[in-house]
Amino acid sequence: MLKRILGLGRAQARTVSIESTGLSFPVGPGETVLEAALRAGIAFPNKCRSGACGTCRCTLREGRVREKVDTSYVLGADDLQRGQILACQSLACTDLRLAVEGLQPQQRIPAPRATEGEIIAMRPLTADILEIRLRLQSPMPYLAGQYAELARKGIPGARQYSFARGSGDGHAVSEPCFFVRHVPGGRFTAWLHHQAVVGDCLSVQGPYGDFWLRDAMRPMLCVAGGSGMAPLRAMLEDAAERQVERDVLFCFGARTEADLYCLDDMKLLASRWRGRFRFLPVLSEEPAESDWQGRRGMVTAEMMSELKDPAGMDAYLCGPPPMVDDGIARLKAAGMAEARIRFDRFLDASHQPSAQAVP
Amino acid sequence: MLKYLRFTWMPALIALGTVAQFMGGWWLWSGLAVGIVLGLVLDNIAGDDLSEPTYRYPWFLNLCLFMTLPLLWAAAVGYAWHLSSDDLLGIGTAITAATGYDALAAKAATGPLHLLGGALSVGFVFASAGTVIAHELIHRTWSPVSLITGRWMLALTADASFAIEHVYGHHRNVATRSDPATARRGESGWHFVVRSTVMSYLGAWKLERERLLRRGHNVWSWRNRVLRGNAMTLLYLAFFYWAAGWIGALAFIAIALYGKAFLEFVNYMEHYGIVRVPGEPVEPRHSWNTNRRISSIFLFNLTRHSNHHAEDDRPFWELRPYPEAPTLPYGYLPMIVLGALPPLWHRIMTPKVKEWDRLYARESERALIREANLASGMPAFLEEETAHSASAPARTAAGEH
Ligand SMILES: Cc1cc2nc3c(=O)[nH]c(=O)nc-3n(C[C@H](O)[C@H](O)[C@H](O)COP(=O)(O)OP(=O)(O)OC[C@H]3O[C@@H](n4cnc5c(N)ncnc54)[C@H](O)[C@@H]3O)c2cc1C
Repeated sequence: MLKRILGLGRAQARTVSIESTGLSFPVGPGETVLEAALRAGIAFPNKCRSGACGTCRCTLREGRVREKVDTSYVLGADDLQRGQILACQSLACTDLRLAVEGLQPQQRIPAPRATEGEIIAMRPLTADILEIRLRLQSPMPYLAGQYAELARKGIPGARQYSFARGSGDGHAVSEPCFFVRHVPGGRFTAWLHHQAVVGDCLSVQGPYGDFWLRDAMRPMLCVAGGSGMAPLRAMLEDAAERQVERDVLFCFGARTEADLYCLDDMKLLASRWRGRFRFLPVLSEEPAESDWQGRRGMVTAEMMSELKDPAGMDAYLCGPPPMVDDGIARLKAAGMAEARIRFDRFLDASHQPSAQAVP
Repeated sequence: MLKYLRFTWMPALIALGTVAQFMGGWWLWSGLAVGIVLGLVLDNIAGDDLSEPTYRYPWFLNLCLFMTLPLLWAAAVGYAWHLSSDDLLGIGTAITAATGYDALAAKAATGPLHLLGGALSVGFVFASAGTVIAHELIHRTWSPVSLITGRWMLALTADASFAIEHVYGHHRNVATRSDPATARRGESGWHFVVRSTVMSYLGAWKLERERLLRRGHNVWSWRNRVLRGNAMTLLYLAFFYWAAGWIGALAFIAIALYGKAFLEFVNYMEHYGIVRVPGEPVEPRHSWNTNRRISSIFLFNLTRHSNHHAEDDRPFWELRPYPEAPTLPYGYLPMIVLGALPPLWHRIMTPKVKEWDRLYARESERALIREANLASGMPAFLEEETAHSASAPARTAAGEH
């Protein structure tokens, strides 16, 4: 008591460990367990942070906390008996050991597999981008941002296409969607755009790639061009579902206003997103006399004027290789560390074979 | 500097209104008149405020909140002084002594019609400043000073239990059937005001009762915050009775109920017709938002409601405008007026709700939308369902969003 009055021993940081996850983090004086967990980049479940919703409830296995509010509006008599606390209102008096439901130790990366898929729907999104939906013989789990390899009998080789919708964080999906841009002179995309009909079959392998969202608290910069929208939309959809709270700036490059798509999806995402969500379309070839009010120019150049603190962000770039490369160069020049930049280049046979080895 | 000033307007105007009240006569209408000019006229022409300033001295903004309670008390005492048959607390004499202005003559010149304006003005201030600022304060569950200040403000509109039901009930259940403060499709404003008032009070009682039982306390004790809230309102009532007898007591009851109705009309607009699957997260799209400048400045960003419900613990100055969120067609006061005029309300809001269904709803919410449409009893919503079932099979294209 005397110690507390004199403020002795208060400056001491405590350690919180979370049972069967291997996670632990320091909590400073005056800081709640939840604040400390979020600061450490842990996706601790939470919502209202005022002790009203009960989302951050967890079980205190060891140690002692002081709670800032009366938690019995939220926690039942049994819960209280079992040592449940609300992380958002708990200050650590000692080191703590907690059990937290719904906190995964680490994201599992699904193993690739092979299956067959039947085209069940096709829908043009723009003049040269087609959305296709497949029904897979055996559902495929993937992380949003990954891609699958599609192949058609009679066309040599397989092509990579990023999953365009979320998977609910790695669940098996039986009807995946892809955005496929028609590449002039391209064999597979020519077939798909001009000849394929609903009911045609493709072989599907996957998932592949490591372009998925890394847990962190930093604001995110997303940059896409053309069909590069697909993996980012998938990623952001899953992140919205998980209630990720990071600020997002999503810069999307297209040629003309007619090449913009998914605008309603972006609006919906923004209306679901817990942090700030800004979608910034940039047009490179919009006729000067059109009534387009938004940005014009190269998306990678335009995005730079929007970044206040590139070094404090994470970047996710995806789309045509020249756009991705230019974006990376600019971000590095502005001080963004290489490890903070994730990307997928949509390479095809016209690009150097050596470059194709590393997607 | 300006960014600090914007939140001093409200307390400044309450202070001015109180001074005006002591000037007697038609001045008693000034609170309501200024409110109408600001809220109905200026708000419609002053455009949107999308700014997101950062504040280095949030204590100043907190000061604006806390100092409103004594200002509201001053307004209440001033009105009670007009109602009282003699010079209540010697206020009139004191004013004359200090300023030379003959306050007692002003009081004598104040008739029943003026007093009506006074009641409408004071109640308007209790609602627009009292309930709004109290709302901000009672979200700070971890701060006893904020809670008690907020509850004393709410008690002016007989609503201290709002501090319980709103935080532990409304915010958890918003946009579901179990939330009394979410208006249903087709429900008229007046029906809602009564339903929400009664059910919210009962909700608060239930929450409080459970809390006390869990802690092993007696429900009928001084620990019961609903009972304590009632006592706070009774204290105000007793003051008015002491000041002006039965007339005073009746006037206070009328003002309190009228102020409370404002709060409920605000609830009415904030989530009208929106649905959410119980248990799924509350997202910005589950509230009606507006960024009208005057509304935002005077209501301490309550208007940025999408962000408020998605992140309950954000202080008002950190709330973000969310221009992408579902947006009300007008600012707060026009929406309150529309709410009180059901035919107009439905003409304007039915298409908005349908737009919400189209742009903002998710697959998991379709069944609830259908239920809500069928339960609305309004042809405009019912027709949606008959039309839908006919076209449903055609909507299996690649992007069923
Ligand atoms: C990781 C990854 C993800 C991807 N995700 C997507 C996606 O989501 N959406 C999307 O639309 N695309 C995506 N792509 C690109 C996609 O995989 C295909 O490369 C693209 O669709 C072209 O396929 P195609 O069969 O039509 O063209 P191809 O027949 O492969 O030809 C492509 C181009 O190369 C030229 N070409 C062919 N052979 C040669 C040669 N020997 N030498 C020089 N030039 C040649 C052709 O004329 C044509 O212009 C992704 C690529 C990668 C690597």
